[in-house]
Amino acid sequence: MSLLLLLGPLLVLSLIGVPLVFALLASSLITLVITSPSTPLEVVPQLFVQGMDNFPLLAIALFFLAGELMVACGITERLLTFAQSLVGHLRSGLAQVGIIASFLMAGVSGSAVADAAAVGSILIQSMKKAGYPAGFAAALVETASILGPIIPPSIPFIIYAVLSGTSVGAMFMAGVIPGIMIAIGLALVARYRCKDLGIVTMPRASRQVVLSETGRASFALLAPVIVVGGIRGGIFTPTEGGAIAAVYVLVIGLFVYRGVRFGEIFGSLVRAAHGTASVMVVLGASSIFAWIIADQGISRQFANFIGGLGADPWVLVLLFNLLYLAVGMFLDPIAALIILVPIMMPLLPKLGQDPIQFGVMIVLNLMIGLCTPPVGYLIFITANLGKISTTEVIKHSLPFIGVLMVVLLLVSYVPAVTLWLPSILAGH
Amino acid sequence: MLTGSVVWFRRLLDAAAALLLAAVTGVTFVRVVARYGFGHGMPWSEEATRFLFVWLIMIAAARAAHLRVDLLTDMLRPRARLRAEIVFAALGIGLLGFLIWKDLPLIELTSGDYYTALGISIEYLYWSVVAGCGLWIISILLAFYLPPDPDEEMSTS
Repeated sequence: MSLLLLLGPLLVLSLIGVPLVFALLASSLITLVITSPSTPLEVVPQLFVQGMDNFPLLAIALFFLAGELMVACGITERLLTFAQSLVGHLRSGLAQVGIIASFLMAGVSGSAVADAAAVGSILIQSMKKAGYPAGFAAALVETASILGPIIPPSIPFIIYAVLSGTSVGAMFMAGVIPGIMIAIGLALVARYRCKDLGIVTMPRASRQVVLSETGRASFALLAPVIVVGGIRGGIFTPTEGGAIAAVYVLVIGLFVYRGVRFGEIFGSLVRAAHGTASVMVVLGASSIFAWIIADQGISRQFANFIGGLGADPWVLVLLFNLLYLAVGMFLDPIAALIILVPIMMPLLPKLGQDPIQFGVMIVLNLMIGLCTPPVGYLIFITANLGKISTTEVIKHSLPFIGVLMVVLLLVSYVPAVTLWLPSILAGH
Repeated sequence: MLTGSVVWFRRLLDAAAALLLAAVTGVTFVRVVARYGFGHGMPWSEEATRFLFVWLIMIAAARAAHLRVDLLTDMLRPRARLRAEIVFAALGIGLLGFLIWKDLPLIELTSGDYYTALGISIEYLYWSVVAGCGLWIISILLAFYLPPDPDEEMSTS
């Protein structure tokens, strides 16, 4: 009953286009007034503020900023030329360049949309010039940018960790192996596809060029090492890692690569602040939503209902995957996490999954949703950059999405894929 | 004249948000440097950054592109879309006004509570809701007069 009261208005309001923060506030308020009229309504602003007043969540703003600064400081470009000197001569050279650059970007930035825009704005044009079909180039950038939130750091992982009470550091480490699998899978598919497409190979860069490009990129290459290494080594918290990443990127932008202007730094700060605010107000509003769910025992009702189905854990895991894939087709991943994680957490024992494995699984589902119609931001961005229709991108992205689905299956059913690395690193 | 003021109002909000984010980043960075470089922590820094972070969100919220499903509204004709936008704006303004209204007692209630290390009253945390939601309401109204740049639209994940 309360669940319907809460989710009904939320679904209707958000589907007709009301901003999610208002849809959440309105549905929470309606439920609160009807089911527990004695509750003082001052809890609404109080929970709203408390939902945002949280140290681990600061990392969101800081990693947004680091990602924005990477583009402003020309680090993306540096990583692309480096990757080009390394693998540009292979048959699928530029495609591999895109995967390597996305992988390296992912080590500092935590957002797929930001990575797709950063890598795509340079790479898609050069791939078109080198004879790749634009749809193929866009599809490659689109799917490779998923690495952003899977390889640490990751904004969706930070949000999931805070909502589910798991460790941000452990979530970060859990994404490493699935991320490497995705990168290798995409690389293999790209290689195979390029043979079909008859792409002409480019000359191999001389050893001298490789060395000089590595030297020039070395400061950029150090960034992921410092950030991921520092967090994993316990030298700083993930939040502090975000500040280190942002300051490091800014310092090499200012003093080593020297391409950055004040206006671009200001723009990065503003864009990161806006991105943070749009996520955080939804989180604030959802803490009222989560409070009602806990107060009314809604998630327990839901867990009992699912438990009453008597389905095997592997069937439930499959159903959850389908549910999250479907949700991801329509809803922004972060919004979906914020709304669904509080309801779903009590179900974990029934799935037989560790919260960390569950977290990687649902984030990967929601990210695949970014590459599928009808609402797939990554399709829109890359189609726009390639100046082609979204249909063209979707057509070319199918084999790459196949890779993501295979990794999703492994993440869902093989616990070691996600849990092995955090367990040995947390060890002893 | 009015158009100019709207543009300046937005620039001012953006500058405030940028400044707050720079402050959050700076304090968090210095905290790590102080811990390893000078061998002592800065106990006030966690409270300070959290406090600034909430203010950052509330100030930037007025200008942020908010997460929404625009599948249906995009299919509407311009006139119908404008009508839908007016209804959504009214709902938003109502909810933001409600937040301000119910936040005022919290300001009074927390005026005697202090941040342990920072030493300032917690009421200043709750002032962020009044200021932020107020600016947000103004921003929603101004968007009808002068729509903000569409190229600032962005998603977050």
